[in-house]
Amino acid sequence: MNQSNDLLRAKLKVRHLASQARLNRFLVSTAVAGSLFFSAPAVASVANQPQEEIATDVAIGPRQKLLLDLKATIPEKLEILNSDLETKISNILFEDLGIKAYAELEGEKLNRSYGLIGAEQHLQRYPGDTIDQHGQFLREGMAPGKGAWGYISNPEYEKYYVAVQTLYLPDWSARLSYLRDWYRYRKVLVVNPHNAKSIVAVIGDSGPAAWTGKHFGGSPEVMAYLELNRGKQKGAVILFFVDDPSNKVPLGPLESKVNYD
Amino acid sequence: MTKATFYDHLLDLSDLEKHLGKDEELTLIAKKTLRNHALVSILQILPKDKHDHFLQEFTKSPSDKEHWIWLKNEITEDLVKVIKTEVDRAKKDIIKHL
Repeated sequence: MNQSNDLLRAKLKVRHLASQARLNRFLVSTAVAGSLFFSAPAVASVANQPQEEIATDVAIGPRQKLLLDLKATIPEKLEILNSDLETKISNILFEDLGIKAYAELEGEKLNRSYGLIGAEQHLQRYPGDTIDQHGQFLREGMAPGKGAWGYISNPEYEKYYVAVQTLYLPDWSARLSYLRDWYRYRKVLVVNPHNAKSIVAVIGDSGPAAWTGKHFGGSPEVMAYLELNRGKQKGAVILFFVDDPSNKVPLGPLESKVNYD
Repeated sequence: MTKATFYDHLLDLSDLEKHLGKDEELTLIAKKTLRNHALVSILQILPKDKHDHFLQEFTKSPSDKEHWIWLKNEITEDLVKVIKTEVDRAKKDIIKHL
């Protein structure tokens, strides 16, 4: 083999996802779709949901300020943000949530900091891990094979993970060994600008494939909290790196201001 | 699809192994991919009004060879040939993208 197993696995998973998407087109019209055991995201629920993005709930208190600030700053069109805008958003996030989050950290930057996130499946935490041991959101299923970093043994990481398109970074192949370590379980803040719901997660996998039109993936728990686990199971988010060298910012929903002390 | 299916014997992975080596995980992902494609090829030629029944039975017992008998009564095409053709096409597609 000329390629690393990581790269081969990523490429194979892309082909597998394409085959699932093709199969799903048949399954959505069947009554038994939801009971099938394909590792595809909740086929029946997609079929039965309205295809428009469902309106989010009403933000209150600190979230309302964040919601208003983001609405005044973020372009409606899902475009690549320039660095001035990214700095403005970082300032808003610090002011409203007390969190230090940046589109670029330590000189590293994803191709997108504002993009579409889509539903991912549960990841295997150890050999023999099965979907029924994941507590919640069982319909979302389990991804085939391991994640980009292997088994995601920390259950908290598996619960709150995102997938980002490291594979499409221009310098990914050239700096593979450094970047792989840098991105592995890197803490990120994900914000749904339509309801200001914010959650801290780790980068737990690579993807989604470019052909999906999505830029990020979210674990079942992340998508549910952001209220994007319905309809088309995707939506716009801001995804910034969290600057937290002392590991003071806990993973999970961000309901109050971060305290770094 | 993680369970064995009644058409697994048509999923010859030997030509993929040249590219994937003997890594069990990679082979499993490739096999699951081919299973999906094979199932699509069945659904493409099975009348739509038979899909629900077939998928219900298939879900209950994916490796049951009785599916061949039922499908042969519903499909006029040579099912083995259809699946093999689709699997070969899918394998070429996988290899092209590796």
